[in-house]
Amino acid sequence: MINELLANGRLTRARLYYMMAGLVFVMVAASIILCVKYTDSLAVTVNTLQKVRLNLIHMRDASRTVESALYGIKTVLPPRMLSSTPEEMLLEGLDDLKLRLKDAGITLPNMERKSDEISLPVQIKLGTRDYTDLVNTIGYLQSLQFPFFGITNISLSQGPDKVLCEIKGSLRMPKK
Amino acid sequence: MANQIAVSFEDEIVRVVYASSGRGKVRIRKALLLKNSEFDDFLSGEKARNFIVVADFKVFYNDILYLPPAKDKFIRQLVDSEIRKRNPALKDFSFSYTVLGESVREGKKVREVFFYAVANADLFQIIQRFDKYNKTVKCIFPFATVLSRLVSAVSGHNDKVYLCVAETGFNKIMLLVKNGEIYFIRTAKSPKPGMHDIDVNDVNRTVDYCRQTLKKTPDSILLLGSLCSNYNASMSFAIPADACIRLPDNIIANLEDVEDYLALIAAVLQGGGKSIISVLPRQYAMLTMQKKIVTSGAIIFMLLSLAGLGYLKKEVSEIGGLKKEADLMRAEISMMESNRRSYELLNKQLGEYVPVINFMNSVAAVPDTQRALISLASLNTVGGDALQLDAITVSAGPGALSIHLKGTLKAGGYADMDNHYRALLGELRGLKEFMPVSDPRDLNSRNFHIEVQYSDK
Repeated sequence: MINELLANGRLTRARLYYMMAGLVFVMVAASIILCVKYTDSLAVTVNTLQKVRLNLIHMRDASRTVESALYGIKTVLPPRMLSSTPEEMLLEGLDDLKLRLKDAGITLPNMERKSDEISLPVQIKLGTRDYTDLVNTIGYLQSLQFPFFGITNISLSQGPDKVLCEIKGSLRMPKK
Repeated sequence: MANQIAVSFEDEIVRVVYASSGRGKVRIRKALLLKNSEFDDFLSGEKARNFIVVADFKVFYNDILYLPPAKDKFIRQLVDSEIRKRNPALKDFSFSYTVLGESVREGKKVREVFFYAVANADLFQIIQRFDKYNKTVKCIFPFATVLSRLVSAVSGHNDKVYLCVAETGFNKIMLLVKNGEIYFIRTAKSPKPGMHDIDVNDVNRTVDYCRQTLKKTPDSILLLGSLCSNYNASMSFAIPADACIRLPDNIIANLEDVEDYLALIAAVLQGGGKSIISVLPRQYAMLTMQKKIVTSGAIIFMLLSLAGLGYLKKEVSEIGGLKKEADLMRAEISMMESNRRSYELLNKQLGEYVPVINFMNSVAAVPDTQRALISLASLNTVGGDALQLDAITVSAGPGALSIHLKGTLKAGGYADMDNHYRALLGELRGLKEFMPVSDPRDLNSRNFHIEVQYSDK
């Protein structure tokens, strides 16, 4: 009897509706999951694009800064740097030094080459009665550019009639 | 208000009652009297899905069982096996039972259980009539047992034993009821409706049977429904006929022949105990339950799907917005592409100057020697006659200059000498770029040697 009722198909039909509804639900749920994931990835993309946009704006500002820095560097660098080698410039600098410190004894060991610079060690011996002259000479050495003069040691000692001064340092040029 | 429809099958007659129940009252809205052949048309036209059925079964099995004391959950199984034992011909059946109480038989404690069993074939015949029109039968009450609900509703629960007499078609049904529980049911054929001598005789014989066989003497006779008004007997009952039962007080019915619908009214009465006296086959109950669950599940899935579709719509519109935003940004970025190119170009150019910049920074990192020498010249103590500087050595170290001052203290007394030396040290400490490291002096030779660190950063 119960089989006849089952065969009647109403329960089967209800089960069919149940399965169809379940299937629809699964499809909707799957679509929701996909949509949510897609939305999340889109949000990440938008966020990244926003960062890229901001970075591009920062790049524009940074370009201005770099431009002005480049202008400053180019102003500082002497034009002859383009045409002369560092060695030539070192030697030119040495000539200038000798010309400026006529009374000084200048000793020159060999030129030294490092990875990023070339230097020419210089030892200057001079005698002076006036401390101000000495200070001005030091100021002159410090003000040299391309080549620069790097002071490593200064010794002042009282001589019989004047102050003896020994300046150790080097003329330095960056490598090209 | 809960609406219920009860249907009773009595020979060739089908009675239908529409009732609404709520707040302890049952309102009989409508009653129909149909021929059996008209019932299918009625079902096909009726919109309601659930029905309560009252049937006057021609063949049924009832008795009192004396079961050993057992846990309540095992009683159903015990009753089932006992019915099978007593009625071997009855293979497939449904039954209802009520536990009447406990008693002692042959020195053993037993549980008295009344059962009413009907063959499933008879029940499914009824169910199929409904199922054909996609209707569900909620309960099937045997005519006799459902009337006991009415008796307990009207007379209440008391210790009096009643022999209730009711009429269904031409049949007279007699129930032995105590405390609202049935102890015995008997159906007697009658030639015509109403109460006649032959029926009184049947009642009296039943009273004797109850007294002699069941050892339960009815205290009085209760006439139910139409028998109260259709009483044509000249014989008198063997025991007093106490009362007539018509309708309980909580029933509101505006029907002329309401007494003919008593069993149906009993079926729609509120209160518990309905499932106990129902003989609805368990397989069918499971089937309807399964169908209900499956249908509910389908509805829930559809509702969830609808809600999901709503959410999906919102998500899709959000996706549209985001895509639009992303496209706009891409367009803006492509327009700003020149920024990137010029930045990279400038950066490359700057990269070429980086060694020079680093070189210049390293040159600038060395403290200013000229300033250090000027600061030393500003020392007042050095300018006087109290001490003489013999030698100054300046060595360039990383970020600082190391300055050594060697000299001689010229003051006459040691105290003066010490004062001047301290003044010199004090002056050096007063210069913020200078930091004395060591300051030894020799009192014998009057020589001193001061080491200071100079940093202008």
